[in-house]
Order: sequence, then C-alpha cells, then structure tokens
Amino acid sequence: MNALFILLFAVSIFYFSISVNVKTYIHLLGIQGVLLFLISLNGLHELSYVHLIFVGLETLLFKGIIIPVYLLNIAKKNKVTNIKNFKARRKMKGFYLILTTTLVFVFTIFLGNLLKNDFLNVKIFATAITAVLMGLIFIVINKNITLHIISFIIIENGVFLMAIAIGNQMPMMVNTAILLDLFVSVLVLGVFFNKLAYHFHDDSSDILSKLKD
Amino acid sequence: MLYVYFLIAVFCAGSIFLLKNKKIMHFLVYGFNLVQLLFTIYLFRELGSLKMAFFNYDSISVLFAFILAILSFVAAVHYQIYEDNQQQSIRTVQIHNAVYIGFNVALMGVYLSSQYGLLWAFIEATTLTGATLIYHDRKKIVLEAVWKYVFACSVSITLAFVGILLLSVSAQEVGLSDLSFQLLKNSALQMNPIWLKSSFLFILVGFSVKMGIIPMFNVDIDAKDVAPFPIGALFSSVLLNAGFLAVYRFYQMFHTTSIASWMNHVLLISGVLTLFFAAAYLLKVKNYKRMYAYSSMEHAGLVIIALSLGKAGVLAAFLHLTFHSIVKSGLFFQIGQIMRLNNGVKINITGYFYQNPLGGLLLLFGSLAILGLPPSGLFISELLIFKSLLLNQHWVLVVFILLALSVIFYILLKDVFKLLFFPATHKFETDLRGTAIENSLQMVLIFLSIYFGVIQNHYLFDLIQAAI
Repeated sequence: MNALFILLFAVSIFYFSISVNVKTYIHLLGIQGVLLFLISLNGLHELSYVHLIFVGLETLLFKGIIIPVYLLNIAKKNKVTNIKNFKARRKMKGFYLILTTTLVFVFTIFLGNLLKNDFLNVKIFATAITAVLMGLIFIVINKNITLHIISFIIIENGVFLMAIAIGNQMPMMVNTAILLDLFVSVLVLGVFFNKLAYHFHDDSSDILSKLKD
Repeated sequence: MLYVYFLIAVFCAGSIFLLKNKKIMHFLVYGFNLVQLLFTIYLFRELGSLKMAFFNYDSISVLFAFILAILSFVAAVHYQIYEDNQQQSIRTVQIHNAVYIGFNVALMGVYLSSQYGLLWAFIEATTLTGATLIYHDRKKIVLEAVWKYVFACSVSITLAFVGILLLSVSAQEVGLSDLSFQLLKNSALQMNPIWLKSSFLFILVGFSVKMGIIPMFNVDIDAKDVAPFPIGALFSSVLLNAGFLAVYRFYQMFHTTSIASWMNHVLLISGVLTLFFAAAYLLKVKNYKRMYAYSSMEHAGLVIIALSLGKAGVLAAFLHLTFHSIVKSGLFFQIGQIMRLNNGVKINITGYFYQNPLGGLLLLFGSLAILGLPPSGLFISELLIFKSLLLNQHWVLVVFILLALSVIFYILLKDVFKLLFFPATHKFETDLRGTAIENSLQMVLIFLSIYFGVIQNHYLFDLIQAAI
C-alpha cells in the first residue's frame, strides 16, 4: 500500500512539470500533504501514538490544509492564476521540464540502488531526492515569487519524506523536520511573504533588484 | 547553570515586551549581557568537567562564547546610541531588544550543542531572529534584503538538513541512534564514505549562507548592508563564527577517516573561489558597508582555506576568526558614526578625518589591522596560513591567493584613504561625532587585536590547542 502512495507522490512531481495553473500547483501541494500523512502512517509504525498524532497533525492539517488555503488566498489577492499570463515567463518549456524530471528520477533511482543498505528504502529515497532537486530547478527557472514559495514547499515535502524514511530509528529527525516546516510556515509565509505581497504589487522577482553593487 | 541562563534570557526578553520605558529595556539587555559573560566564565572554569545533556561543549565553544559575550555587549551599547539618534518608536526598540536576546541565545546554542540535529535547530533560530533584527528600519529596500535573506537561508538550511539526514543514514548503518559528535567521532572509521561525502557537500553548501562563502554569500552581503550597523557587526563576527563551527564540527568528526583528503580539496576549492569572488565584487563596490561585508567574505574564504591545511591550519583558522571578529565589529561600529555624520555610506563620501579625527584614526587603524598588517593579530594568523600552504606545497595556490589579496588590499586601502583624507565635499554637523563611550569601546577592540598580535596570549592558544 505504501508503494502506491510513494508512486502517487512521484506522479505529483511530474504533474508540477506539465501544469501551468497556479491553482493546480497549490492543490498538488495539498495532495502531497495528504500523501505524506498516509506514508508516515504506514511507515512510522514503531513510533509512539503521541508522536504519530503529532506527525499526523503536521502533515494532514499543516501541509494538507493550512498552507494550501493560505497560498490560495495570496494567489487570489495578487491575481496570480496562470503562468502563461506572467510578465516574467518561465525559462524552460514544459516538454523540457518533464524531460528533466524524468532524467532526475532515473538518476536518483540509480543513486538509491548504488547506496542501498538495510536502513534505506530506495523508493522513498529516490522520490524524496527527486522532489528536492526538482524544487531547486523550479526556483531557478521561475521568476515569480509565489512560484518560488511553492517550489520551496516541494523541497520541504521532499525533505519530510526523507525524514520519514529513517524516522523509525531516529524520531528526532522527524521532529526536526516538523520544526523546519513550522519555521518556514510562520516566518517565510506568515510574516515576510505577506509583507512583500503588501508592499510590492508586481509578482515578479525582478522587482527585488534594488540591492546590488 | 545552562538552564538558568536560558530562563534569564526568557525573563529578560519577556519583560521587555511588557515595558514602555526604553531605558529600562536597554538596562535589561545589559543585564542579560552581564549574565551571558558570567555564564561564559563559568563554562571556562568548568571546562572538561561539566556534563550536560545535549550540550557537551569544548574549548572552541568557550572561545566563541567569550567573543559573543563581549561583542554582544558592545553592540548593545552602540544600538542604544543608534536608536536614540534615529528616535525609533518604543515598539521597534521592544521588538529589537527582545529578539536580540533570542539571537544571542541561538548563537550560544550553536556553540554549545553536542548533537548535529540540535546545532541545526539553533542555526535555524539564528535565521528567525536575525531576519527580525535586519528588518529594523521597515523600508522597502530592507524588506527586499530580508526577503532574500529569509528565502535563501530557508533553502540553504533545508539543504543542510538533507546533509544531516544523509549522515543519519550512515550513522544507522553502524548502529547509532543519535547524532552526537562524540558517538559519530568514535564510529567515524566504520561509516560509509559515500554517504559521508554527500552529507558533507550538503552541509557545506547549506551553512555557507551563515559564513558568507561560496555559493550562498550574496544574501549575507545584502543583509549586512541594510541591517543597523551593530547587527551588521554581529553578522560579520559571531554569526560567521557560528556558520564556521557548523562546518568544523563535521570536519572534526571525520578528519581521521578516508574522506579527509577529499574534504580538504573541497574546502580548498570553496575557500579560493570565495576569495576570488570577494576580490571581484570589491572592484565594483559602491558603499563602505558593503566593502567591509565583502572583506568579511574574504576572511571567511581564508579561514576555509586554513581549515583544509591540517592541524597548523586549524590553529590559524581559529586565531583568524578570533581576531577578525574583534577588528571587523570595531570597523562596523565606526561605519555607524560615518553614517550618522554623512547620512549614508556611499563611496563618494570624503574628508572623514577632518570631520571626526578620532573616528578617522580608529577607522584607519582598524582597516590596516583587517588587511593583516603588523602588529595586527591577523598578521600572525595569515602568516600561519601561508606557512601551512607552503608546507603543503601549494605553490601555485599561494601565488593566486596573494594576487587576490593584493587586489583586495589595494581597493580597500584606496577607498579608505579617499574617505579619510580627500577634501570634504559637503558641510557636516560636528555634534554628531562619536560619543566617548563609543570611541573607547572601539579603541579597546582595535587595541585587543594589536595586543594579541604583539603578545602571545597563552589562554587563547591553550583554548584553541585543546580543541584541535
């Protein structure tokens, strides 16, 4: 069953590559949150109930509901709908992006098999590393600030997935990953992104170029 | 005692939020600084005998904690003068002072942590508090810098966390259930080198944002540029030390394994590139604050190079960090006076020596010290770095590093001389010159750097030697 959830998570990364609608991106983030909940429920069977409830709240409530709803509101307020309408266009076409995603996935599966050991679930590892790398690529190729945030949350989800992969032996790592999420949600999204959206009305990162030598 | 320190910090920060009087708020920060200094002395006295869960510190922790305790107090004094001149609102001072205490606690946590996960969490806390401290003046340009800083730090710290996760996979293979430095060091030889190498790469890239080295240095420069100058001083000194310590802890654990030579190569490449980028960016720098920020980048590069050179290099690295912290913060405090007198720090400002002779002298001596000219302490550490480079037979690198340092030397000295001795182009208010307390504190910092350069202080050397 867990393999199915991991596969769906991997498919969601491919879906990010072909989609052009910001609403779809945000919905995908919500779906990833729910999938992380299901994967952790199946994967972290050695943890205590209190710990599992904590992980459940973090994935289902935070990643699955609160963050997507917040981002939908921001996107609505800033009229960010379809990336084809952006002033600052994406630097890579959809076809090349899906090709890149495939290559990254093949590379991470190869890497996972190379590093295989008793404590590593190769499927989770490959999917997690793909999410991290694709998140970084999305940040580089997009100039839109809202998309930067979405890309960063994809990286976050990848890191959380990795933490789940080793969570039975090291619950401290899962706790720390949760801490990272809370930090990002409160500081990056809650405080500064809100202020940025208020002060700068254009959504392109080109507006943030006053500071230079 | 550590928990008492944490409790006092919470009490002071919490009380500041309830107060309406700026003077009492500053008094509470000074009180906290005193407690921090006493706590550091206690750590020094109990070194080697004190055992605390999650916080098993060593002599390097004590050295950095001392630097933090001293510089934090000096920065707090300068901040009071800064906000007084700017006539900041009570709310702004309230937020700043409370978060300032949090920033100190986070840094102390980084220095004292004995586990990688915990160290990472405290580094994360420095981003949270540091970003709030930068966002002091609430201008659009500050918001731009803060946004870039927060975003780049978040991405970097996440990458560092990936590195820690990879390290934990390797740790599980040898039966470890936590990432304490001592346990990892004991099992280092049995761990899988491929996992360790990939972990090191992620950790170096992740924490580079705090050190201001390649590849994530840009946002650090912007942050130092727009932050109030006492905060710029702390970012250039104690935060840089924290970033270095995060990388050093990994190096310390695995420098006896088969990946040691590979780590040294990576560090050397990273350090040399940082040095070159610093020199290149300095060529087109347009304000004095950024100039000194790039100078910090240059020194961070030198320290990373030193770390790659074995035991003698590690000694040089810690000496360099100590002297650099003292001198660079002194220079940033002096930059604050230039800003006050000239309403900015653009590179076209001239005649500062005629405006403020004492401040001008301090800037001159500080700049000569930061360039590593004798009798500055940085001369000793740079000499040790070059000695180690030559002993390791890095002849070509020595030439390249000297070339980069010459460019930096020329640009910095040219701009400082222009600022000090070219005729002034505008009128100035003499009553905005530095106060006696400001000048004396800066004098003490510059003097300390010269003192350590002339007299070999055995406390300092013993502390560093004990850790390496």
